[in-house]
Amino acid sequence: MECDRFVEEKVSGGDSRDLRGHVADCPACARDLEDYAEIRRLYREASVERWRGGVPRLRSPWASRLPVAAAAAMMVGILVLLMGSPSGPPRPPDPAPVFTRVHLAPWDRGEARIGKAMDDVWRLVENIERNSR
Amino acid sequence: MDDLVEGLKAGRPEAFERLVREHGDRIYRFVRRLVGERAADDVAQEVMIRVFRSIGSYRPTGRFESWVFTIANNLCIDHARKRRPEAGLAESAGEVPGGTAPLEDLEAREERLALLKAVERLPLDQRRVFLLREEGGLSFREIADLVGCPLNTALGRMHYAMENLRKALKAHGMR
Repeated sequence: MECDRFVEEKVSGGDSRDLRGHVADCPACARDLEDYAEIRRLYREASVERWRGGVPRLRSPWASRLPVAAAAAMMVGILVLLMGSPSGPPRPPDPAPVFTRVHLAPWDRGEARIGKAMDDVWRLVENIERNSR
Repeated sequence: MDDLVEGLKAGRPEAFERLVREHGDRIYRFVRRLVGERAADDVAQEVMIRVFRSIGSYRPTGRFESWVFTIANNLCIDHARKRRPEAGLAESAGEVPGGTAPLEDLEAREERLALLKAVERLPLDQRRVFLLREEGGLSFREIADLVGCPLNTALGRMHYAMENLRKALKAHGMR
């Protein structure tokens, strides 16, 4: 159809020579052209809302990553604490070492053999000294 | 426009201010008529920030406005997937300052409100094409590329949108 050729011009307010020639002989397209122009004019008058948000605040890319970094640092800290004290909360420092006396039974058979061997060694040493004089 | 793009690419705050000053109103109105008044502030702000952050991917093969409204359109689609559209989008549209308007102003205001409500009620594909044309100032070739449809489809949607708006205004006894 002839009218279909002018859809783009009609909806966007075209004013070509072809369109003018067509609407001169086509009352329907002439009415469309007039009505669509009126709708666009009315819309421009009606659509007047303004952006009232101002200039949005821009955060640096690091700032946007900061919460993640903080959470990661906290996790590492918690892990270190847990690994450093496997049995629960941190313990108080150990008290100064205390030496305790251990009583052994010196006269069992093993001790007697060691004592006899030591006597033999001393005796041998005395003989060597006597002979060297 | 080249200055603006260069400034944005250099990360200059004054370029971002200029973006908001020159495009903020149109972005806001486009977003508002697609996602509703309540979410419009957040989505429009996100559009501007996204433009600033993504400017490195902008290639000057197409118009800057077309690229900006592509981002706006995509964020509106993302928003619509997350939420249902709200009702009463045009309640505060066309406000008459002062509150003591003469009768003809009140009639004009009523006519503007009726038109905005009719836009709000357009099917989404028609509304999107209508807004990209009237708010974004995009060509129908750009709209077709942005929406991802043939040129004739974009033109057809605009034609149907105009017809629906005409019917709505006539139903209100106007024109």
